Amino acid sequence: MTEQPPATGTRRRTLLARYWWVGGLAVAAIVAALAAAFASADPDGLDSVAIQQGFEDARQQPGFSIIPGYVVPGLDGTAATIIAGLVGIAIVFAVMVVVGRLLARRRKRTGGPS
Amino acid sequence: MLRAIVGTIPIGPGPVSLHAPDGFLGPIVAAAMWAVTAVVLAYAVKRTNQTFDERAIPLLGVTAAFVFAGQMFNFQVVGGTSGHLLGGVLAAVLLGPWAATLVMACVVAVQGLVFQDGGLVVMGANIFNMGVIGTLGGFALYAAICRLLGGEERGRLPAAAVAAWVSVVAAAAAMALELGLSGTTDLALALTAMVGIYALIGIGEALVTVAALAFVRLVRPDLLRLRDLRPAAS
Repeated sequence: MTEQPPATGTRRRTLLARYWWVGGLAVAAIVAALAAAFASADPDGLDSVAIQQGFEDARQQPGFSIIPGYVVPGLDGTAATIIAGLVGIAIVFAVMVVVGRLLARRRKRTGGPS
Repeated sequence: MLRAIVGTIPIGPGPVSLHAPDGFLGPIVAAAMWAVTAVVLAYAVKRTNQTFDERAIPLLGVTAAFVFAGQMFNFQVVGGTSGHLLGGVLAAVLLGPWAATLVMACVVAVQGLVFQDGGLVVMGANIFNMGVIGTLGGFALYAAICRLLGGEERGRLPAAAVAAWVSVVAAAAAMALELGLSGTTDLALALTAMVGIYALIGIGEALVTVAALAFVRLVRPDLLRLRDLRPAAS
């Protein structure tokens, strides 16, 4: 899993260096799949306090629903949540790449690091 | 029908954690938090535009993906309560505080808009609590601890662990304060309960943050230097 030595396999190293983000997305997808399969179904921190202190009733339902509760409508079980997770990962990745492209300016690569 | 049930009872992965639904905060508190968050985001856009290097764009996307996935994973803490990663400190260590703030805002916005996790009226508060506190406050603490420990190389993991834990407890305290100011519940009660639970959840945050940074350092240490790339001109 370590990096290739710089002297050899330049082409492969370039590809790895360029497309490492595919591996990064795969790690995120695995985390989402594990979450779908094994995550605790107990109410978490804030919700637990809301139930305990009796203000859970203050919750207002949103006036719309797309993929509520990380369960794709029409599917059930773990698959519905895995797909929801993949959809979410794809959306936030795409949004941030677009944001990055809009904000980051092209740099002159004159003797900078790496 | 099923959708209605799923909507009312938080079941399965990623119920609410620090994602306040609409109704938990009063209109004045919600509006004030939106105002603060909007100003921070506007400044974050400006700073990112000045300093963000295009070579870090893939890391920007992957960090957002990982934070989103991590927030889905509710781990058990104590008797009937779970918690999940926030990821603000992790994002800030990888990307710097300003780009990380945009990542956290993006994740919380997508959770609210697409997954009905967290309300829209209270989204300003949610972005502030789960994002800004970790990315700005947490990162400032991280940088200070790194300096104390003699540099980022040596201080990275312990500093990230402490900053991650503190950011989660601070986020919980902020949430409690907002609930108390809204009159939703008693401030002192909310503070005690929230800080108590999130002091435990924060340990999970510290572990995941350290593990993720150690993993990146092991497989792609060069990614840890993307944050500080600067254009030759500035």
